[in-house]
Amino acid sequence: MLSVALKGLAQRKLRAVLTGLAVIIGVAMITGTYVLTDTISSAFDNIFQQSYKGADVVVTPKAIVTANNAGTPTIAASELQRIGSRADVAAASGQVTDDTGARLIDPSGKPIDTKGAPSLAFGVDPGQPRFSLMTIDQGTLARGPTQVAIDGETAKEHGFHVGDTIGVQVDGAIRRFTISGTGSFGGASIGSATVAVFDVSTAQQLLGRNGNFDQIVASAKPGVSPAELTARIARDLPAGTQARTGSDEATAVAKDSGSDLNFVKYFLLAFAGIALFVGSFVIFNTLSITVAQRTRELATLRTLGASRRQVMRSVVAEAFVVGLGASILGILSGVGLAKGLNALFVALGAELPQAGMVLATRTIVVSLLVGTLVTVAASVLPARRASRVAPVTAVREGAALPRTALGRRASLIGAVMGALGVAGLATSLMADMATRPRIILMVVGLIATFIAVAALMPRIVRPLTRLIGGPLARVLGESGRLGTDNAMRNPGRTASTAAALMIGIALMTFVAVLGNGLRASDRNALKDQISATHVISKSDGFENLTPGTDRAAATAGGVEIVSGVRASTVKVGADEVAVNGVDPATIGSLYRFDWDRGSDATLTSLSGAGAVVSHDFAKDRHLSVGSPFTVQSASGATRTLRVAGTYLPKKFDSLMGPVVVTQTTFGSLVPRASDALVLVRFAGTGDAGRAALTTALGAYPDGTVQTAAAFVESRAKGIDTLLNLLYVLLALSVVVSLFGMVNTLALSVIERTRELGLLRAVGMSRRQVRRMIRSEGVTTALIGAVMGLPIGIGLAALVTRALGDYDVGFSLPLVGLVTLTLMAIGAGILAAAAPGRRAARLDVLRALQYE
Amino acid sequence: MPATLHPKPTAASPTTDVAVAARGLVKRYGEGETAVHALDGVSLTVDRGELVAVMGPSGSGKSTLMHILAGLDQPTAGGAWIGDIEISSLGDKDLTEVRRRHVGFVFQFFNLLPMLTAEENILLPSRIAGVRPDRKRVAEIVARVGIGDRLGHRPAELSGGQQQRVAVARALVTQPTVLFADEPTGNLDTRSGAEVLEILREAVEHDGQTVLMVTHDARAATIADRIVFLADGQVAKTIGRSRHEQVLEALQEVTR
Repeated sequence: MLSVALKGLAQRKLRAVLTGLAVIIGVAMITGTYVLTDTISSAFDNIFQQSYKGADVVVTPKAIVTANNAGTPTIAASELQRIGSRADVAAASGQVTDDTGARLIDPSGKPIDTKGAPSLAFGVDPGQPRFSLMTIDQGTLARGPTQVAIDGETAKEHGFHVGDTIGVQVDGAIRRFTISGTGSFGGASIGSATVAVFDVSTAQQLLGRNGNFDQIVASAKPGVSPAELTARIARDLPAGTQARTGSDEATAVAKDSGSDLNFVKYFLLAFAGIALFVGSFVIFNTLSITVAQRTRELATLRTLGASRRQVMRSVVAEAFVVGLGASILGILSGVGLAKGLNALFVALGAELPQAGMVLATRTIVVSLLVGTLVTVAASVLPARRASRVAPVTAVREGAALPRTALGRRASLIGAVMGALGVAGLATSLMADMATRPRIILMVVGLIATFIAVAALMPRIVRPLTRLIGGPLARVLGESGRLGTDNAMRNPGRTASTAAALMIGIALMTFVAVLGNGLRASDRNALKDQISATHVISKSDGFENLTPGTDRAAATAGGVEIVSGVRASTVKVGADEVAVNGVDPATIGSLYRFDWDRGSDATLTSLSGAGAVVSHDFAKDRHLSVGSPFTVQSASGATRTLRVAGTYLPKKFDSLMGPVVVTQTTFGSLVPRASDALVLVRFAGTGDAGRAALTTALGAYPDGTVQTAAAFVESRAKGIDTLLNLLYVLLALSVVVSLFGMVNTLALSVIERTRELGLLRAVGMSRRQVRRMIRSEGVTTALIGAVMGLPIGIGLAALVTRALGDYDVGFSLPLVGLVTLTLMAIGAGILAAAAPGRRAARLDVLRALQYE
Repeated sequence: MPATLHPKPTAASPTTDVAVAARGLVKRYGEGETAVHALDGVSLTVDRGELVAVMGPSGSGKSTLMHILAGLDQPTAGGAWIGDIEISSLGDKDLTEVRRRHVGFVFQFFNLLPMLTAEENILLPSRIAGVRPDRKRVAEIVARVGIGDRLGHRPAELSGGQQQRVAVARALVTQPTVLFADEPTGNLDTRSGAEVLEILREAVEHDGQTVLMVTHDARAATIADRIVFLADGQVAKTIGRSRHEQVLEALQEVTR
């Protein structure tokens, strides 16, 4: 029996491949995601294992604030002496490590753009090369205040050689160093990051470490194991510091560096899931059609003694083989896709460390299992139908497949499922619940809704087709009308073909509508906040500007007011809270606070311990004007502040955090204070201001000068990058549904061979045949669009409502929706191309004899 | 499963035994005044080793009779037996078992599986039942139907006559209690038809195979030991082994 299934499959290779493609894409995404993220984390791991190779023990301060813009505490120099003088320590060295401190300047005088990757700076003792974080390939480690060693990749890219002079920008000022050597951090490429290694005291001085260290590394005397030494050192450490073995430290740092990776992984896996879900519709549909077409064959098997179970198993076995084969191909393509995804991230500005591809056993197991299971699961209903074929069908002409009990009750089941699905979705969005159950409920609700709509769709295929068919017939003539008629002939088949496309369209619509709302809300929120004429911000929008940018901007002619907005993160109790430092005298003229308790006068009189806090911040901590509260900065400094006034920040994209203090107070908390934004009022035209400011910022080229309107526009459009990524990923599931349409149309052509012959015999031209098939494809695609658009809009409305607290508006992006509809039509035309060609090529005579 | 399904009667059983029986079979479609009686009280027995042909005009109920006797359809009233198993009351599982052990089919349109070779088609019933085919018997049957040189070919590469001979071989290999032939010559030219009929007759002579054949081909009926004529769902006439003209004569009489 199994051989019957397999041989049948072998005879319908093209169909098997088309069915398989539906799975291949999803599986490739799973494999690709795992390979990509595994490769990156292994690259990080290798890098750090390599750089901590010589250290048995690494002593580091415990981070107080984990936010990226906050910095970390340091270790006192005295601690190195204590560790270095231990009897069980062979050697110890204090080091400086910094992610953002030192920017390298290229030969033309511009800072090297790291595209979001860190510009690493280290202080390493050249006398203890075994502890060096950099492996030197050429020359030596830096020694003395005028030397630096840089990474070979940067050197190569910008034409630096050992002995050349290179500029290093720290806190605005550019200092010149001689390149003493080149090497690599951890022996690998880390994307577009730059590395500068100084000797310890130079680094301490440059990076404001006041003689302290970021970490102390030590090696053990012979006979003492790293773990043992680590445990012993840890016992004697002061509070707030920790000791790990070199290997553990490397693992911890690597994990931290790749912490965004988990998010990326689950994000991409979610889209793999969507593609597979769409793929399951395609498999279901293709198998349903082939089962229907093989009715007589299946009945014959029954007369020859095959049991229902055997027939059912033969269909499932066929699906199993297709699923397994497709999964294997999916894994192979996934390895290729990993490279593609990496390229996509690079194109979007996030360059990642590169190393050899990692294809873990887990990746293979999960990919095979998921791909095969999805295919087999989608085959269960068609297989059940196959098993219901009555043996007598073998001798009866024109007998149709019986509808199964499930089929008869599809509408009822669909209605109940749809109601539960929407209820689940609404609950997940509105109710107060934990994140994990919320997401599970949301996903289950969404899947139930889609399946329900698909189950109900056969009922509305006819009316919808009539609606669509009218205009289509006008455009395409009689063959167009025949095509839409064909789409109505088997509503179930058309419905589930269209349903696969519907899912992709619905999700794209959702993204487009929600994105439009978010953009509009962001634009309004930003416009309300900014009263400056120009804004200087970092081009990537996430990191702070180089300190001193505000002072440089003030030197531009025509500038009336300049106000820097310092930004960092502090700890208040157990919470990490964003804090801003402002100039009380000027900020009020350039930024609008929506006052709750207080006025712009509160701002101008802000001083010392005074802080303007957000209404919610005050409420959550039961503070009122005059109340004290304590903050702790990343460096460990604590300070008690006093509420001077409260304001209502924009719920969406507020440029100010919950705590706003003077720049002086901010400076006492954060040692190397820097601005997130510099707001400017310029007397004159926007363009003149931009030109003047850009000139004034010559030595600070990381700052981008924009008019306030342009800043609002570009920041609101920042969401487009994310939207585009979502579109690309959702497009993959549309491609999956495209295969489904090709499959259905091709199978319909085979089924109607005789009829096509007849149409040709009575004078239909090849062109008209193609047009007829095309019209059937477009009709199916439009049904998918007509169903998908309202579902997506409804979903977006639901989510918008749920996000009501964040002032997210709801507005329909008409251009986007029209584009989606056109895309659906395009998909229909594309899907019909090959089946149409095949239909047009039929030999009329043979087609008429076809049985 | 009823114990009566075992043991399987062998071809060596006394030929006086009854292989197939129908008692008062009624098959009615619809209800009340609009009811149509496809079968209206048909009783019939086929002895082991006997070749019975069922003839009759279109709509006489001959196909329905065969479907019920082969367990493909259920009668409205009456009973049908294969050997001593009453098949008209069996569920799907038991019927599957009956088909495996007791029934062979030859169809008008051959019904070979297109993806399997001739040999694989012949061995398929054994494979489905999970029994090892009797190689000697297979070789003998293949030689008898004369397709030894076509075994590796797929149905699409065979002529109609060759396809039907493969189908007959497929039905004979398992030595079923009864072989149902549904218009076996209906889709063949005269010569191929004659060859297939010869093979069927030889199976009866050589193996004592029981055959029930539904046909409207008078020439096909000439190989039958007995010809049962149906008209309007009832047995209208039964004649013994007859020549072509005699069959035509009887057929006309019944149709009148």
